[in-house]
Amino acid sequence: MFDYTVITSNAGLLWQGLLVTAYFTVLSIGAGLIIGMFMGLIQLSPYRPLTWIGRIYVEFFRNIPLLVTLLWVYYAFPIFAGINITKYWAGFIALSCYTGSFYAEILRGGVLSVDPGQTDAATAIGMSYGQRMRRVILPQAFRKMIPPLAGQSIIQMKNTTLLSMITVPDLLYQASYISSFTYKPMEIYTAVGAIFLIILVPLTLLSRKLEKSGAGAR
Amino acid sequence: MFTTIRNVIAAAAIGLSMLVAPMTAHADDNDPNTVINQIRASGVLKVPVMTGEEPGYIKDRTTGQWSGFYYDFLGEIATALGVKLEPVETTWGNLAADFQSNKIDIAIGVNPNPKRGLVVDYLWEPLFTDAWAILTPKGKTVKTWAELNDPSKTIVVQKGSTMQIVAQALLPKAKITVVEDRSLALMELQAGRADGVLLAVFDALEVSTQHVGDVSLPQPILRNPATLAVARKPGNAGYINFLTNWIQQERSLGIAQGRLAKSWTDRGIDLSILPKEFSF
Amino acid sequence: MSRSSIDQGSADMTATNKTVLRLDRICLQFSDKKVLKGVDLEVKEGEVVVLIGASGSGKTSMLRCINLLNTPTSGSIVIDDEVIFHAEAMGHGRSSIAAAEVNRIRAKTGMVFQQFNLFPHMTALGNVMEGPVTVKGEPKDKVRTEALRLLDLMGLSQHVEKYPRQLSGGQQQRVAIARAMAMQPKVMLFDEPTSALDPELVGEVMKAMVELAKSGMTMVIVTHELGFAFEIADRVVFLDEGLIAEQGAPNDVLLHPTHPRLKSFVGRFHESADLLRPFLEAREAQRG
Repeated sequence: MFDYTVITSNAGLLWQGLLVTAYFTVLSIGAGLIIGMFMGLIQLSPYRPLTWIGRIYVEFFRNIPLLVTLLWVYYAFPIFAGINITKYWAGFIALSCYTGSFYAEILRGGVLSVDPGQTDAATAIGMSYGQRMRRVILPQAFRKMIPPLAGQSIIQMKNTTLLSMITVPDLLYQASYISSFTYKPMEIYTAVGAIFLIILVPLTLLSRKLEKSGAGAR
Repeated sequence: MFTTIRNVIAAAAIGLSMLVAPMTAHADDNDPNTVINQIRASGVLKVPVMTGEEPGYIKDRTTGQWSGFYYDFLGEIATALGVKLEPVETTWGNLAADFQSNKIDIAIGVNPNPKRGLVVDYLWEPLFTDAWAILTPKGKTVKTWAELNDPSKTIVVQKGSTMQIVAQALLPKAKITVVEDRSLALMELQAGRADGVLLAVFDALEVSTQHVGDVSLPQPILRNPATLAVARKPGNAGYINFLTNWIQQERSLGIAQGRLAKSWTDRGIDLSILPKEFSF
Repeated sequence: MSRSSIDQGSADMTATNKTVLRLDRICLQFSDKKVLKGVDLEVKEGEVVVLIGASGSGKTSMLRCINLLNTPTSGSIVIDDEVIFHAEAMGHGRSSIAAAEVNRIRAKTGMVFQQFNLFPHMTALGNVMEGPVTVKGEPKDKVRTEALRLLDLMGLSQHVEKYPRQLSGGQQQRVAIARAMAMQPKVMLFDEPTSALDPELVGEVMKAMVELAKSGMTMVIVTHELGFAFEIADRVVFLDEGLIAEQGAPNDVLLHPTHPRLKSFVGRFHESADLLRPFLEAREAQRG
């Protein structure tokens, strides 16, 4: 009943889809980290307007479903701004803004979780805010943040499947496409599920290991 | 400090409202040729293309090139307008949004629908007329619609399609399952959770070439006019007129029918299920 | 037993007439709670001042005001003739001094914390080098030489490449002292430096601090250890509810208190001191 040949004969398309998925995953994680670093840190500044901007950004993108953000960026935003935006840019922007908001929270939490005594000691030897952050606080915060950052990044790979809704040719899109001419959706979607497992399970295990070593090295 | 905050908020509000007001170019209400001139000036006709809609739209597996009879018809329209074809990949569900955001200039193979007609202009001259059919599990063909109009029966349709409206109107007693796309509809059938998938007869025949199920043309035969749609914009009267003329020419010269028949036989679709008097 | 009786000579030698630290009418308020209600303090070069008081009396807050870890609500602070803080009575703790200036003047003080607060991602040597390299921009090899000297002074030459988690509490605190010293401060501030240490480790830190005092460093120390105050202080300052209630030579403040709160505060000390008296007198005789 289960016809494996549809998988093997269309492996090329699946591979292309996987590349697109990987491409968007890595790019949006990168951009998301930059956005998250900015939006997370400005919430810790002593200037009220900056903390508001960071807070609003995080609540906005964290609470709106990614699909809604994606469709809005691709369809609605161009109408308001009067510009045309390709589905690739729309996907990249939506994914980055979304994951950036989660990274911001992780970063903010990481910095706050550093012992306040560290700030005291750094301040006492005359460090400026920037020097404190760079030399003392952020290095310690990052160590603590790696497990939740890794976890969020793994989730991001699953988030990219939403791009298929605007016909970006990711893995899920290819699955739908292949099903459309082979009429064997079961086999194809099973293969896609397996591909995700093969990639994400080892990464999840690695992330767990990082968690343990992070907690141990206090 | 309070006044500066107020100023900041006021400035932001103004800025935001500018951002929010749609900045689409306003077509002149008085000139019926605005839209058609815009298209000709741009040099391209933006048309929707989609996967999972063979034989109307076909995406080549290796080159990614588009073909299929819908695409070919759109190509002819583009030639008649003197512009090139620009395919914009999308889905049936996103068509309305594509029109709204000006991503496409035309849609083909759509069925006139009063509710959608509030937002989109349909051309009432159909390009061709096919019929509604049912794809059933193998060996379970049906002869009439009445057989399916029963609470024990489950029919699958694609979300947002005319199939959904037809099923709800024609088979009110049956259970209707709505799915995202054609391949998921077939999964319902294969999983044994459906007694039939409602499809246009040619789509059903296309599917059956892959030995997924049997095609039935239930009585009474229900015709399904397939036509064109364009965005409702001021100044599109000339555009609509042009397209109507084009459709009439295609039909009167038998071009449309000839192309359709060729494209279906090329795909290996067996048209013998259709009664002899059937003409599209 | 008291410093003033034995080390009278060296006390005169190390204390000069130059004022290195002055606090004027320092008030500190946290939302609705007044922690400091107008504190004046003048510390001369080479002087060792010990702050004592009950929990909540404001002694730690006062210490933290000196290097602006706490920002006073009003008052002024002068370190080595430079104003590091100045705010009028109605100000909301906003000083007229620019942040960069504050950081620079702050580096003239060194602070040692109850919880050590060493940077865990750097070695002992790294901790000591960090201030001069990052804040002062001094060349690394010069800083390294000096850092090694300070660590040697603290008796930690064997441990310079170790990370804080590999060191005992007493060793960590000595590294902290070296770290503060690396910035060549004019005043060293100690916030209950031995409170978090196991009893057997307290001694080594106290010894390091006594050596520091002997070398002429100006020190302000907050501590519970009244016996230590005896050993090291030129002046003892008793805080009660945000105000200096009594101050003077250790002998006077600790043995002949006049303020009622001070009396009950040192009363308990006297009780335990009575138990220890024979042992302490015996040790004094040995030194004699």
